[in-house]
Amino acid sequence: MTTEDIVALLKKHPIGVACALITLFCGVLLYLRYGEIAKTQGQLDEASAQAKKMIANVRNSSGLAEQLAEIQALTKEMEDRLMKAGQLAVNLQYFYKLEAETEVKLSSDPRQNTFPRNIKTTYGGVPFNVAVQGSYAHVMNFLNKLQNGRHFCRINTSTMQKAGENNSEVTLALTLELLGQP
Amino acid sequence: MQFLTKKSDAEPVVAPLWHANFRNFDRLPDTKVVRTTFFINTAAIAVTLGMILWLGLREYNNYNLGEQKADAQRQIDSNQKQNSEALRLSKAFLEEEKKVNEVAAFLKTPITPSEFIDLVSQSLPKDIVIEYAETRITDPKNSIFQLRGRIAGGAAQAAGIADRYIDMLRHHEKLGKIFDPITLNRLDKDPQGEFMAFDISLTVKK
Repeated sequence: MTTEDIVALLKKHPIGVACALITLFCGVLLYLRYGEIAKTQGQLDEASAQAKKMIANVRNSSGLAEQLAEIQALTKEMEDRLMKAGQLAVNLQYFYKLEAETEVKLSSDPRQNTFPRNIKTTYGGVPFNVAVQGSYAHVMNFLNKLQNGRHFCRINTSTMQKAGENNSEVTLALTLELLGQP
Repeated sequence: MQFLTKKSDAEPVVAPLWHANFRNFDRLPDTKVVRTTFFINTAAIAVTLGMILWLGLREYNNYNLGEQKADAQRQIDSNQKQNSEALRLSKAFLEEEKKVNEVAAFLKTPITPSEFIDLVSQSLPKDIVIEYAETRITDPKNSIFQLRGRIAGGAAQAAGIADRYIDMLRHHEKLGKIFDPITLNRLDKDPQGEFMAFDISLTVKK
């Protein structure tokens, strides 16, 4: 088949040739832009998820500012009640005050133990050993005031027993922690 | 015997040409009812239209996705500031909440010593005297409380009283829910012989 024959064939079927060229062009375009939809779809999914998340964040945050102010006031109040482990004299004063208020007698000076180092939490328990003696009512009053007093208190062990054979009083020995900071 | 010869072997019957065929079929017009060119053109146009439709559909989908993406991006841009503020507030809230939870965890205990002593003293039968009460809360789920005291009367009577007391503690509205098991560890004669000394341990339920 010579060039002249080909030209003659093309002239004989102009529509077919034009269609073939258009089809070829479309095929090339389809090939070149094959991954485009998947790419755009991926970007759309990502953007939609982000937009949804943002809208949910904004919707869920209604009233959050007030709630934050409320909880900040609460934590401020809590932090005012924390014990400073380094202020030994002030800390021991707390027990002497309780002693005076509740009319019990400290059997020995309250002892503050070492504040744990490297705690992973914001606060830690300042450990103490305390022993008191007094009437049952007074000792119970001391215990109640300690548990519900100014500082947050956790009693790890407590031993209450008769002070002596012919003694109506009771003794109370406590190992406790008061929530505090170094 | 010519009739016995197979037909395939027979000489084909060819009519002798009466003149030469000078027709040039390539140049002759297509005289078929439907011309071949029509079929070629129809097929070519159909294929081309198919390709164009396919390409167009894909591009339209792509355009739509692009529009949706742009819409999502607009939403992102319009909410950006509020979202940042919400995240800041949320982070601050979580920090504060952590502190509150720490305090709550610090104070969490199945029962406080004062509450325990109060409940025991309120439910104490008249035949029993408690001389020693110990609470040991090493962790909220591994805590042992202990009661020691005396029971008036002889061994048999004291055993009955102790048994009823243990039973009462186990079925106590509050203590029964917190402690299990509640065990009588010891019931011995007091050195003076007037009472029976007992030792009860109460383990916080796990």
